[in-house]
Amino acid sequence: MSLIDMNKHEMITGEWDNRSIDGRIGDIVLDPNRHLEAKLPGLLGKLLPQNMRSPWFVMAGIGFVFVNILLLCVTILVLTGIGVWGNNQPVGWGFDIINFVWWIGIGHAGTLISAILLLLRNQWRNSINRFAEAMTIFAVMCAGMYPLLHTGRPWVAYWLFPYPNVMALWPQFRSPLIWDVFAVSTYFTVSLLFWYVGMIPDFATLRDRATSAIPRHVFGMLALGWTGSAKAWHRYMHASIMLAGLSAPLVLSVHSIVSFDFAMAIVPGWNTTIFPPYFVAGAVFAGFAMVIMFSIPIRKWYRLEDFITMKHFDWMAKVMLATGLIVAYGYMMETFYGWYSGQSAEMALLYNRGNLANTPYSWAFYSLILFNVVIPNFLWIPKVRQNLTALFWISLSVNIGMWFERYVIIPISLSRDYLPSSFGYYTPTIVDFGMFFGTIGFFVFMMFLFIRFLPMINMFEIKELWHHMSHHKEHGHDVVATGEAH
Amino acid sequence: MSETTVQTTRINKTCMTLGGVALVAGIILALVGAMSGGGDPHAFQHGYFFGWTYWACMAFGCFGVSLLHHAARGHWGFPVVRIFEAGGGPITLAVFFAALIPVIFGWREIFYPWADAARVAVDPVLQHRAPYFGGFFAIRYVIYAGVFILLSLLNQNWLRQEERTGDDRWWKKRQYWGGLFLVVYVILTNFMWTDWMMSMYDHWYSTIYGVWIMVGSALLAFAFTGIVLGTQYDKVPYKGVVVPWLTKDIGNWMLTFTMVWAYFSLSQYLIIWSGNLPEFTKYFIDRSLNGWIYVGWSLIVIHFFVPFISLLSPTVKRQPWRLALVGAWILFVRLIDVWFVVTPTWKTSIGINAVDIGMFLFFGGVWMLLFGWRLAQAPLITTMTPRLKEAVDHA
Repeated sequence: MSLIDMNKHEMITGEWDNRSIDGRIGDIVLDPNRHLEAKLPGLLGKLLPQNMRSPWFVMAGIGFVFVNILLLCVTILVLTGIGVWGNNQPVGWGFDIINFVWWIGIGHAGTLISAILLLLRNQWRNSINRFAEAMTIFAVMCAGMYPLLHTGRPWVAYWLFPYPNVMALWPQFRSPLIWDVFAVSTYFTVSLLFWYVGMIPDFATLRDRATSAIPRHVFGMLALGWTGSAKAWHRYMHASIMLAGLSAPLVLSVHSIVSFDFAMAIVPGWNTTIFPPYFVAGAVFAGFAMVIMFSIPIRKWYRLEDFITMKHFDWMAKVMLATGLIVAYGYMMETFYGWYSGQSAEMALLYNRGNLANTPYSWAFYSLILFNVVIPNFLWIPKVRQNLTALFWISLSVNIGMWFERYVIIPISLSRDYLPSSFGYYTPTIVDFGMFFGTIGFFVFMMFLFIRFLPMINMFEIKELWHHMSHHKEHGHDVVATGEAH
Repeated sequence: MSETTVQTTRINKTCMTLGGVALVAGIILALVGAMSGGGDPHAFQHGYFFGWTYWACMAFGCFGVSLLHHAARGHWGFPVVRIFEAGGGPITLAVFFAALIPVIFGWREIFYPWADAARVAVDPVLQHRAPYFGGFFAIRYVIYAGVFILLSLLNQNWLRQEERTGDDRWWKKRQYWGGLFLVVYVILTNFMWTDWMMSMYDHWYSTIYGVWIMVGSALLAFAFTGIVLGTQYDKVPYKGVVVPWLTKDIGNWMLTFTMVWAYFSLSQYLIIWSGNLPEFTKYFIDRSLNGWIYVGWSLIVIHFFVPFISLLSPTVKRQPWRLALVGAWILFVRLIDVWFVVTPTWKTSIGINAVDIGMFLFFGGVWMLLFGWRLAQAPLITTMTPRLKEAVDHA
């Protein structure tokens, strides 16, 4: 029996051994034995925007409650000023920047899955790229709120852009904070465009399948007159590749620039050259964790087992493990070179992070190590990668750990820098917590709105895979390795 | 004699000839250079370390890339894994580890401020690091050498067993352990370059330095592989195996590592420039005076833009001889980069002398001889690897 034959059932169920893991990836998304028997429209029916089921109401409802908490907190903040946050000297950056970096990181998996895997012709991305891209959009929205509100006067945030004005205002281009404005706004624009362009053929399908006037008109407008002609497809594929080419460097540049926000400063623990790659790896780490966390329940609730298979989880877990190891390497380098430097401020920082008995924040550092280094290393075990419950909790651990990473970087360094006379302690307020959980609610709410109104799995790419499979079956070939050959 | 063995012998002869000529030429040049002096009392030692560094990067790079292949299980690696194995196998690694002994034990006062008791006595930072650079320094050397040679030996044995028996448990074994071996390699390599190169500065350090050198080493390994493929694509046993997807994959690896090298270099420079702290800027000040800055500027063009733009082109990656040209260019620019990283540490004025060239040729000769010899020990293509067929089908 060939590796491929052995793999056909196991890929759906997750009951594979090492041999089947190495089977060809053309079989990942669709099982030729079962899905070619089914009619394509029936198969695609599962991918249409999902009807409201009880989990939808629960999750969207919880999300909506927290959106309101977010709105309340933002209102208090705008009316009162950012003094309602816990930020104060010497910790000028608190939850706002921690959450900003955390959310931006989460957004990275979408672009990585969509753009980089598209460029690498890895079609295993097909089932997960659409909602990963949606995550990017909503996560960047959550991220963008924080620096915007941190300006104190968000209504004049446009001053951050260089434009001719009578006030002689001009941004300080040497500041990485200004680079951030351009990096994040570019990232958001390109991600949105990529997401939208990716949905055009599916909008056309929804338009054609609509049974009432309003959806037909709305999806008709969104489909931009898509006819599905060969010429349209040709141009569409070119546009996708070009956007992917634009997006791929953005994955690196955005989080590198976010890391420069810290690394350019001479605060102890910040001015370190490993920051850019280690931030990028951390972003992918957190992003994949969120994709896994989200897709496990969604897969179950909407019966998407045929499309999001155990092999997807296995690969996503491996990416998470690999990036987690890079992040752990970053922690190791920070710690070792902190000691190696022989600088009193750097060594004091190590003391502040590591001494459980005499420092106020060491609990955060050890939580970080537990959540981000110890627990994710269970992913080395294949059985853990195939256990969705374990995978869910490990992904949650990674997201908590990545939040702690930013907590360790920001308040610990800022609260005790060079001058002992200005040492302080950072305490977040209820508004800080309200905004943090509010943005999580906003993210969940938006994701569930997306599931309700838009196809969360790429319909046209599934159609393409189905076509390849049936074509090859008709001609008596084995199923081709679509993931790599096309 | 099979066709595979014949072809292996032909490559082997070319490498042995090139290696032998380079070795002899290197010895002559180094001796001439050392005798003529030229104002640097330690010209021989400096040239020795420079030559060693470039070719040690090649050996460590080949070893690292072989681990990457075992861990990632990419199709790209099956037809070329023996090149990596021959370039960074246990004997090659052992020779290069042994060749470092004179530098780190014999001439350590010449290279390392922490070995100079007078400097340590007045420098609190060096005093702070003293326990790390005492006896532990030698222990670390033994650990690096022992672990690298052991891992390389294990992989080589598994590969040979696989070739001999055709049993797929051997390649599974390589893959199973590949991830862990790669983790060990990355960690040890970082500390290795910290010990042997970064610690030539008394205060300067950079947390990205180890992986930066590692990336440059991997780039060397892929560039050399590109040259082998480019010159052998129409000859057995590569005929029919070196197909566009393979050269494209190797080209993409070269492109990736070119970009990562540039990304790390820029990050390191930008962060140190922005921080503007005296203990960090020393490294770049040394590389911006007396003409060195022109080398630095030119690296942006020759080490990044030229290979980057060339490798963006699908045509270059599809045609083996063009890929070989880009590979040769990368070998050359890596030489400039290693010279720029290593030499200004002890040499304020820009320049290269006969010893530097001689030692570069000498160690190049040693590496080529070892490469040619090791390549002849097994078929060039691991024909029994079950996934090689997949890789060829994939074409």
